[in-house]
Amino acid sequence: MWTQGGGGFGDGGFGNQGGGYLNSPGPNQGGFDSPAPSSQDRKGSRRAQNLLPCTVSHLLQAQQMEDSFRLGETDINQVTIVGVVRNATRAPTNILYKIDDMTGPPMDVRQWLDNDDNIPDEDQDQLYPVNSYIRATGHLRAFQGKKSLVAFKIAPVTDYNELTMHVLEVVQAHMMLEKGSQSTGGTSAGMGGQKQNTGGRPMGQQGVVNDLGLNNVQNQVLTMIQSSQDESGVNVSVIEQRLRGISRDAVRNAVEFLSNEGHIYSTIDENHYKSTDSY
Amino acid sequence: MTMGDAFDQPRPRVNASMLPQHIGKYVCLMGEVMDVDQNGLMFAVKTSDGQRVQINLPEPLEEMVQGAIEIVGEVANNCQISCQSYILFGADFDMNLYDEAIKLTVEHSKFYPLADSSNF
Repeated sequence: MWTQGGGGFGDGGFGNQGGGYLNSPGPNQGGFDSPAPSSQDRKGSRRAQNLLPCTVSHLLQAQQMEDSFRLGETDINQVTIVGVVRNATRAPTNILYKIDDMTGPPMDVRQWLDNDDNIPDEDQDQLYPVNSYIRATGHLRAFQGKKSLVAFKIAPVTDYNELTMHVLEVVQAHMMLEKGSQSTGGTSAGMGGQKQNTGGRPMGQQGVVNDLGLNNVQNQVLTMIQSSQDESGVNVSVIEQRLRGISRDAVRNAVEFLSNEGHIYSTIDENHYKSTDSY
Repeated sequence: MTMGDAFDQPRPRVNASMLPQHIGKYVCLMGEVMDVDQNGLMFAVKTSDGQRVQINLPEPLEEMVQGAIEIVGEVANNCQISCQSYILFGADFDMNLYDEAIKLTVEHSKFYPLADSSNF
């Protein structure tokens, strides 16, 4: 039979506005942390705890590893998708949705229920109707080769521009992931509104300086300070000598800027600096 | 064709310009309802790239349709759509932005893939 769209908006207020990225700000960016593309370079086993906007087709593509899933070069774990409810079945302990985002067949999305009798009925997880758009956020799972999503959060889409936003976020996030795993300097792949590496700056710098929004001079000064093994840090006059093409004033300005930003700190006197990043 | 057929396959998000490349296939087309035929078996939309496309229905409409509408259907030889299902998006949907977004998914299809039958 041919179904009809229900469609309309939810009543009033906005549901989940965005992907609800869960990560605390990364060390330098103050924005969103990146997935760890070159995870073998990171200290310890840093498990991917980032939230990645995906399509169902991405989830189907992901390969199952020992304790996570891998898409291309990246470990993925927590994901968020936006799609249409094609089916909704309530069982005693969970609700099983089939969510369709047009990129493939509908995906099983399971939401475990709190069977707490203290929660009034109206606050219990509601069953979202067929043909409505929802956002599901949770962990990718596979059982006997079949993928599914265990959602810790399902929210209705009340403003359909969220769908457009999700499409854009998916493209951006996955594009940044690929760039992140390609570049030599470990440029962070951001999600959301943080500053991106525009690619205009030469990546041929020595050292592993992330894109911190520094200009050329600041970058060179910082790299030089970072590469020092000295306990007491680097003497500014040494930096001035080494960076011949740069004026003393420019070097000193850079040092002051970097110090104000917290990238370096003075040690034995106002002329010696060390880097705050531990490399 | 049954409902199940359409929903088990990828349905690329397209605008009117892309329809010729998808003849005979299922797509997802976004547009704004323009006029509805009296018999309720067809209506026209203005797609996200501003073109007029006719939508044909297997059974008459049972409700009034207006505003932004997302259609899943098969593209006929004449680029009309045999609609299998639709969802109404209302009045506040930014059609231009959506058009830009789907053009990006085509330009960067690597990052917005469509499932191929080998993995489902």
